[in-house]
Amino acid sequence: MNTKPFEITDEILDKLISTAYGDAGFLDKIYVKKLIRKHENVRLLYEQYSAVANEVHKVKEHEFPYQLTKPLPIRNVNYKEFKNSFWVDLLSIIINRPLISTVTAIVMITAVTVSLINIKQVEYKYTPIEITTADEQVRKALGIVSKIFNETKTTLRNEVLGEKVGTPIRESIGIVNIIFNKGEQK
Amino acid sequence: MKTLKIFLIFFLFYGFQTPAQEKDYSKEPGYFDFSKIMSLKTSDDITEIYLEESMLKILSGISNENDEDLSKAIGGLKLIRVNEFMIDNDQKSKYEFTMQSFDKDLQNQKWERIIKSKSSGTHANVYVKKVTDNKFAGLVVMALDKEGKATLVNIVGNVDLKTIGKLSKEFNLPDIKEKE
Repeated sequence: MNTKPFEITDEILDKLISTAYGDAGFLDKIYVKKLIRKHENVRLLYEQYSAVANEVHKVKEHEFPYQLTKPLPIRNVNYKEFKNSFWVDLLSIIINRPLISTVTAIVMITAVTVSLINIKQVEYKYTPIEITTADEQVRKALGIVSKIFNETKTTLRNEVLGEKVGTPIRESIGIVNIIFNKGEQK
Repeated sequence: MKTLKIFLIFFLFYGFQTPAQEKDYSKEPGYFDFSKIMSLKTSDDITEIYLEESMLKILSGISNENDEDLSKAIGGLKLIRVNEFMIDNDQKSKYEFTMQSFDKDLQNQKWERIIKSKSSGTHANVYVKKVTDNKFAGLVVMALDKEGKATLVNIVGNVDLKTIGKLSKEFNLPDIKEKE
């Protein structure tokens, strides 16, 4: 056996590993056996690979655990069901259809402007006769209120202060006078 | 998408319909509903006045040049309603009872009674709705005279009692025209 180390190239190493695992072709096997016999370092390396290959071949097949095939549950994720809302619709139109949204905006602004103009027109759509009549009616309405105020004042002055309060006071003073007069005569 | 279409149709419809609608004054704090008492009337209205804010504003502007007090009195008003009608003698007690019931209603709704007058067949109650100490949001007058003439007045808006008082002499003239 040649003790001088043999230079192991990548090609030889591949053949060595294949032979150790039993996958090498017939000619490769003969070539590798020849090298093993001749060179000590090749023999040691072959023995190491053979030992590993033996261990690998000892490993039996195992059935894949069923639990691992289950779909993974989603945890700690706030899932919200997607619903079509007004705002989603509106935003999607604005983003996806800029032309439609621009036209809609113009129509809306026009509608608001027209309605505001119409309101103003309604407010001031009175004829001079209507205004004159309304002026008379305002005066009359306020006159009715004033009349009730005045009537109450008159009632208070004549009936309450005059008759209900004034008359008894006058009568009382008259009685007192009579008593005084009688006292003086005595 | 459907929601948006409905909204757009509604918006356009509403936008063009709004001017045709009358303003709803029933939400105003100074408004009072007389419809219950109106069912007692046994004749057509002697006087019926219904003046809205837009007209009152015009009148206030016109009056400002000639009659400053009148302009001041109606400037802040939103509505003036007056109904005067006759009541038969047999309905008088019913009217008086309704007045009493309204008196309770009004006071429950935070209206302040400033006049309660009852003298030889004549009744008159005046109420104001206070906003602050010197500011009023409405005025209600309910009256019944000896002849059976019922008077209902509701003034909605910023009522200036001081100015109305000042105008008393001018308005309480005997030649005020009445509806035939």
